[in-house]
Amino acid sequence: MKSTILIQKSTHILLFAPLAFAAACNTSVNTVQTPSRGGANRIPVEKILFNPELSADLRVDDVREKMSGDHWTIQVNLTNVTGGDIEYQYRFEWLDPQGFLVDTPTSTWLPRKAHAGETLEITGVAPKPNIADFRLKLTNLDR
Amino acid sequence: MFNRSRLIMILAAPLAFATACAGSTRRIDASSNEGLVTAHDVNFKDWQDAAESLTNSLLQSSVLANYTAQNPTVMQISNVVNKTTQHLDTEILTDKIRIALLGSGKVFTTTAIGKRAEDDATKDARALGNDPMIDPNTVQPNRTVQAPRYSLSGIIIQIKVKEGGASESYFNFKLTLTDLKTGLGVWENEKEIAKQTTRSGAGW
Repeated sequence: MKSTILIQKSTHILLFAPLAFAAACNTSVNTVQTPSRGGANRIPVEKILFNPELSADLRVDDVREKMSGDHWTIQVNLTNVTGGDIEYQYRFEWLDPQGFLVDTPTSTWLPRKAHAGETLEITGVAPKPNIADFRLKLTNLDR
Repeated sequence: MFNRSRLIMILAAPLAFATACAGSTRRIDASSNEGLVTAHDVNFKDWQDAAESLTNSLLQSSVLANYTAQNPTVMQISNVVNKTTQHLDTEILTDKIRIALLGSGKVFTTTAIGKRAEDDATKDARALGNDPMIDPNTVQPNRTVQAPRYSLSGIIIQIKVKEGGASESYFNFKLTLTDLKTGLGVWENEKEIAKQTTRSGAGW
């Protein structure tokens, strides 16, 4: 189903290349299904949202969780599978049990660099105990 | 007869010229990375980055693990010393952290005590007991204000280096949580941010 959506998006990009070029400057994200690796994952990788360009460059290796006291901590392990450095940005978003976005100063786009072939970790800590869900958004850093 | 429209054009020309030369101004999303990046200043994204990192570290620390929304602790925000070459409003960092800590339910920050107590009203409200205009039953009693258990302090350091056409700044944001019962630093962490800039060789 999601593959179909991605194919449709690709067709649209080809047809509307100038528009797509302009839209590349924004920080919209699309879900990309990445096969999970290993048996330690407890978090579905569908919670990791890439923009299409970045999804080919960064691979999700692992998504782990633990409790730090009563705060949910998420660690996402990624690998830059390209031969060059990548500048990207990420943002954790936290949802309460009713599905509402929790407003917190720590939920902001943060710039990072991944060197060629580097494996790296992104860690997020839930801003309060009663967090039911999260999203991690990753997109290219356009300056 | 002097052409009136010609007169208007002559008078309006400087304004039109100024308008044409003016740069564009736009709002940007403060949560995005659209902001300017300058090597030797702390940009708003640097504050956000430091606050996110240090808040996450503090929330994960064993110090705060025993506190809950039913049993919160009280923290005083003390000085964050600015040892950079810039004028910095360090409250940008501490305010983000205190908002996040308050949101966590584990920590209340006192606004009544400390060198940077923001609100004198706690003290002033008690002085109202001497005012004959005030109903004494509505005056806040003494010995009810909570003393802080912890104090959050810090330091921001900048190291500037220049070589040829390149220059860089290294910023270190370090915070310390002191247990006021023992005087011991029970949590410390730092966030490092380094930025580099090169001067264009094509300029003249």
